[in-house]
Amino acid sequence: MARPTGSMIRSYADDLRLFPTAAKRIGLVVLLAAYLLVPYLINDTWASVLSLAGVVAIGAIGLNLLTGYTGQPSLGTAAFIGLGAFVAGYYGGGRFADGIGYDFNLFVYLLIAIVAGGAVGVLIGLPALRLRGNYLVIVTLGLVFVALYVWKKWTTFTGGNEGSAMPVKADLNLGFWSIDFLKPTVFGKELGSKQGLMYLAWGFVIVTALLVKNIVRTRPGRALQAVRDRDVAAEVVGVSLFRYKVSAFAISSAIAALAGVLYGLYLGYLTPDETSLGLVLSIQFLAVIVVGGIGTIYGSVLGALFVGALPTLIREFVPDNWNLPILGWPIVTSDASATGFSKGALATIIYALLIIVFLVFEPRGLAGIWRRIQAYFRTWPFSY
Amino acid sequence: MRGKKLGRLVGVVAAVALAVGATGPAAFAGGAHSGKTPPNVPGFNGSTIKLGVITPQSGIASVVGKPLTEGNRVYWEAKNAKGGVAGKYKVDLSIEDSQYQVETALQSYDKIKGDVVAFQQILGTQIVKSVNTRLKADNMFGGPASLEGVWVKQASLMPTGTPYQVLAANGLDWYLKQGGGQGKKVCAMAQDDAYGASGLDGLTQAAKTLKVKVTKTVRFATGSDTSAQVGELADANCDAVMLVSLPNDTGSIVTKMQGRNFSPQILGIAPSWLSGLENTDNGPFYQEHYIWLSYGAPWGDTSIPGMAQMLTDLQQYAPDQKPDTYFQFGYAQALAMDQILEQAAKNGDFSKAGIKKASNQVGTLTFEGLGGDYKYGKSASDRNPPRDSTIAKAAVGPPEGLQILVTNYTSQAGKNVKFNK
Repeated sequence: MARPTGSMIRSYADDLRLFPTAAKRIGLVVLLAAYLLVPYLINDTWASVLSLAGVVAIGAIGLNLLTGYTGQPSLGTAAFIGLGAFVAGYYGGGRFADGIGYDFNLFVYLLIAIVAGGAVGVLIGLPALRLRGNYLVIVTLGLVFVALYVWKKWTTFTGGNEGSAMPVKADLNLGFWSIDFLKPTVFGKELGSKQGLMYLAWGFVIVTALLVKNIVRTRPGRALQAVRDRDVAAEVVGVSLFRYKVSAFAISSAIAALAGVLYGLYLGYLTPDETSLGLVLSIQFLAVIVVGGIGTIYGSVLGALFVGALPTLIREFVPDNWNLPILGWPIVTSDASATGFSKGALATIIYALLIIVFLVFEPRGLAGIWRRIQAYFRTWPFSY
Repeated sequence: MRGKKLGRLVGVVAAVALAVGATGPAAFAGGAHSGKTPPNVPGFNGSTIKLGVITPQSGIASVVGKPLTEGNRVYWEAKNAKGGVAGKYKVDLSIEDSQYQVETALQSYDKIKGDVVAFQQILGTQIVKSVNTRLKADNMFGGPASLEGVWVKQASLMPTGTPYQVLAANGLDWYLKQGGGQGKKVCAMAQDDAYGASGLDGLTQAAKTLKVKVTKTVRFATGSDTSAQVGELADANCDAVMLVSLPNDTGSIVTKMQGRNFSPQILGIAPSWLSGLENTDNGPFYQEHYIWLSYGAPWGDTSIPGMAQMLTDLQQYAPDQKPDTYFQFGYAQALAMDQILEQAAKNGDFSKAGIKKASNQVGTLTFEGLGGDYKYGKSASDRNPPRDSTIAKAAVGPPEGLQILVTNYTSQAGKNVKFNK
């Protein structure tokens, strides 16, 4: 008798399996190998791009839990990113040389940031019980401005307008094994800080992805999705709106604060102004889950990779002076006074166009495209 | 006999040439000197020195980044035409568009840091602060393109120009003693960020020295509506307002002031002005009420050697460039880097550590009147920035829309300004 394929679901246990098919298990091994080898092999330019993409992916996974799976739109991500980063600066020794804060190791200041993010998330989740849709967006939008005000005025914690230095080490000491992720030694070779940050960030991408996947594939996840689809009906059948909405806010905010710690390590220094921790940062996270795919975990990762790598791809591969073929119109120019865009401006334009295109033509994002490709090959040669 | 005479003549000529070289700026003079031959290092291939530039070439901040970079470029083109650093090493700029975004700037830094010996220009306060953590970690050196006082004691940075704090202090002193401000109410309006904090810091320190009280201080977010803040200043009957803003906000603030029939004397810190504002609808208001607090030579004054040289170079390498204070800053910044590279050439060492070492050996950076001398000393803690200001009023006709009232203005308040680490 033929065995059923891994994609056939015959029981609840089948449904819960994280890696049901051989292809997915092979994919997992390839990804783990890539995790170990890629930082070791690439140069600083790409390590810088991919470490930032990892940080963004973590925040996007958290936001997707809240917005994609629970249906609670939020523009408050920048506030939690700031919280995590300033916790890192204060407790991770960023300002310790000036006699301010503490000099704890990575594990401690990460834990403080996660707990603080979760606690503030609970406070924000409470008004969300009575709000939905646009009203909730406005409340979370307000949070960004309130947070900016607090960061500017709470000078002992954030350095005020002058900002705060971030930790210069991200060290863990377990007795039998120790590492500083900003100066790591891997396979006997000393790597740069960006490579180390890649290990740290993508390690946490794996952890948060597994955590959120575990939440959404089990009973709490179905409850969250019920809240998203019909909150009143969900409550009628016994889903506690208080419990699940507040929990979603708490977990999402804790993950965003974790991303904030890593964002701080990436930046090295953070000032609380609109360009660093303003609304645009929140919108970027929202754009990542829109482009990647709302309501999917790997969509968050794809979106972060795409949004993070696009400007660098253009910088690296588009010529300094590039005219439109045949018509000869200047598209890219390195001459500031000539007609045409700089490479930076071109990246911004393409980025904006792609967001519009995805929203209009592919609302399920890159994850939707990936699913269609999978379905095509799964049913090949009978793909219609 | 003839040989001896010729030898003496050559000796005299050489002595005169050395004396001229010693009194003139080594950088402008071409700086040929016999030093050790520098070995090849990342960013130096034996004939060309590469310098990085991380600056906005697109987006709203490109109005600052483009002329600044043009100033850098014109200086180095002129220098290369004379032979280059030490008369033989050409300088090439590697320009990266930061889009005025920290993440993009950091990625640009990571991309080119291995290909350059130092960074000629890094623009944006938050960007400089973030890049500076990497400069420190990589033992590199770079020039911040702003006048923040916090750069002064940073060993990895090459600050130039009179800091904002000193501009504010000199501005208050001038207003009280020469601008008719004795006994008047002085207030402040500053953007709510590090730049605004620097201006307010200078004002506060100066108010202490001059024993005056700042009646009212308001802050605003860049690009936001400032009606409430302007209203507060009007209600406080301020006679003068120290304005720490950028040009786009200056226009909006002045419009609000006119809307309320509130006409204080505006004392605007350098970046608050942009050439062309004098010709806008608010032009008459600026001409009557706006005072510009900056530093350096007035554009077009060819009696100042540095300005004369800059205009000559501009005519040759950027004839379409209009008078622009940011161009002038960029040109002076390249002149500063040149002096450090000349010292590094003398040491025979263009390595990262060699450039930093050279910065501690130049003693004092001179600008031939383009700006005040900047004492660098033996370490960053010895640095003492220039304390002079140029004060001008808005006017239609003069270059940059500014009529110079006084140059090289110094005050005890400006000299007393202290800088944080």
